[in-house]
Amino acid sequence: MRSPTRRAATAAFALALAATSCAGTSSADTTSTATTGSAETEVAAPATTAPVNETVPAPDDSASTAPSTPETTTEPETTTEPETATEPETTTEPETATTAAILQLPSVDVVSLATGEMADLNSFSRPGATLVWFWAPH
Amino acid sequence: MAQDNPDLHVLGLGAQDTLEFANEFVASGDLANSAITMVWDPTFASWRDYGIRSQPYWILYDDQGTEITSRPGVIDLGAVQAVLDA
Repeated sequence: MRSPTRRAATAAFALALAATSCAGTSSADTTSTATTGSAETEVAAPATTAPVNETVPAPDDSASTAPSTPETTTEPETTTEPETATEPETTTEPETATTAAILQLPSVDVVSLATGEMADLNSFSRPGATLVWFWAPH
Repeated sequence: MAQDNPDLHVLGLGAQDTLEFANEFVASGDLANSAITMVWDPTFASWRDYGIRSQPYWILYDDQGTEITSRPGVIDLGAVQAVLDA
């Protein structure tokens, strides 16, 4: 047989225990909630990673630049150079060599009887075979 | 000969006497209208350079500028043609 005062004290104690356990639980919930929140943030991180992946297309741009490099195709141009074939030019050189073989006449001032003007004898040299005929008016 | 052989350049190099005589020589021979290039050297220097002591005289060079024939007297057309045909 308990006294009313004792019953009240027991009830108050039980209520205090219940309140304490609830506070612990709520704090735990808060923590878990906070953790969950951070987890969500982490999920958001991958979302951030996604944009990074979007930045990855940049390399795709570089990839697109890569094809442009082949378009530059410096190689074909180089191929064109060989086609320039210094050989043809070399072929021209022999001709020039033939031209260089033009008869060298003495560098003497003579009168062109066609124009009446003085000119260097060597300026009358022409390519091909040459016959120099020495003559006198008398 | 020069007209019949376009590949042959004939250069008439005159000297001695006067320019007036030279022009008369060209006119009398109708050389002004020929394929021969006629020039006259008032100093005689070109002839001295070639060692020419008499005239007429002629020297033939091939298309490489090599001297083929050098002799006094009338031009030997056969010799010239032989060089052109070679």
